[in-house]
Amino acid sequence: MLEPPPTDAGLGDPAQWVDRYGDALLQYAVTRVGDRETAEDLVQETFLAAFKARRDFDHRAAFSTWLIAILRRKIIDHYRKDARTPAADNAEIDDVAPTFDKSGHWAVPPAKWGSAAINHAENSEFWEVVRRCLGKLPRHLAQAFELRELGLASVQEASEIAGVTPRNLSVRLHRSRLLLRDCLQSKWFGVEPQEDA
Amino acid sequence: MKRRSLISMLQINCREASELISAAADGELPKRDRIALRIHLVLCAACKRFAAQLSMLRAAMSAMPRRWRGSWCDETAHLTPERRQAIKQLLAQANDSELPS
Repeated sequence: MLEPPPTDAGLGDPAQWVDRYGDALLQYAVTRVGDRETAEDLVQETFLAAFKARRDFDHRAAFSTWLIAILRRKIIDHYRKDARTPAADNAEIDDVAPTFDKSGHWAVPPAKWGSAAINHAENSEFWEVVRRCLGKLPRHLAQAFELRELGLASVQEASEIAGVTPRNLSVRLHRSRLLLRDCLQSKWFGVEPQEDA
Repeated sequence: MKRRSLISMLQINCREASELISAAADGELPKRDRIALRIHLVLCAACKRFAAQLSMLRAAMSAMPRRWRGSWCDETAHLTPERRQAIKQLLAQANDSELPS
């Protein structure tokens, strides 16, 4: 059993941190990095960083909140290591081009989707199609979409997690929404009876 | 002359409009962009449908059933016993290294 120094009063045995907060931290990390092994590494780094910095914890926030803040920084650092070059970001913008013609008009104008969104949401097949469509997206685009559309992160947080500027995140979100829309059009809405455009 | 440049600033194509529609889902647009988009949507049925599609998609995502949301967010993930033990050992080593010898 670990013996915390006297100044750590109130934080308890560090070994118990792992039992108490380990799963919650892992769930937070897996959702944001999309890879379990990496997520476990980040959780491990988080606990070690928290142990080293435990005297800085001022008890103003919950201990779990403090741990999450450390984990967030670890996730951001993780993505920064794989930071994309500006040239790659330009390529992202160009990749949207086939959706529009040279004058910036829709190559294929969006069709009118059925109005029963709630019915779609209750349909397991719909979510299977959404999952498959997201699976076709490059990981960084799917991640941007999931962070925002599942309400997991604000724009600022999502930018930090992805290691890009808010402007670049906006480009990723635009692209992910266009690609997902295209996929759903062909795999789901396009196979339903359509109303006239 | 100024009037014409203002009008040209408010004239956007569908690609630009789609960028603004997407950006509007993540935060408030600057006033000029908001006006330009509003004008474009009055005139462009295709972009209006795109905006409706994104709204529908957002509504559906927010209404995602818990069982599906769980599969995305992995709200059931647990540290493996081996990893749990490894972290505890590392914490113990870190603690030992701080103790006066």
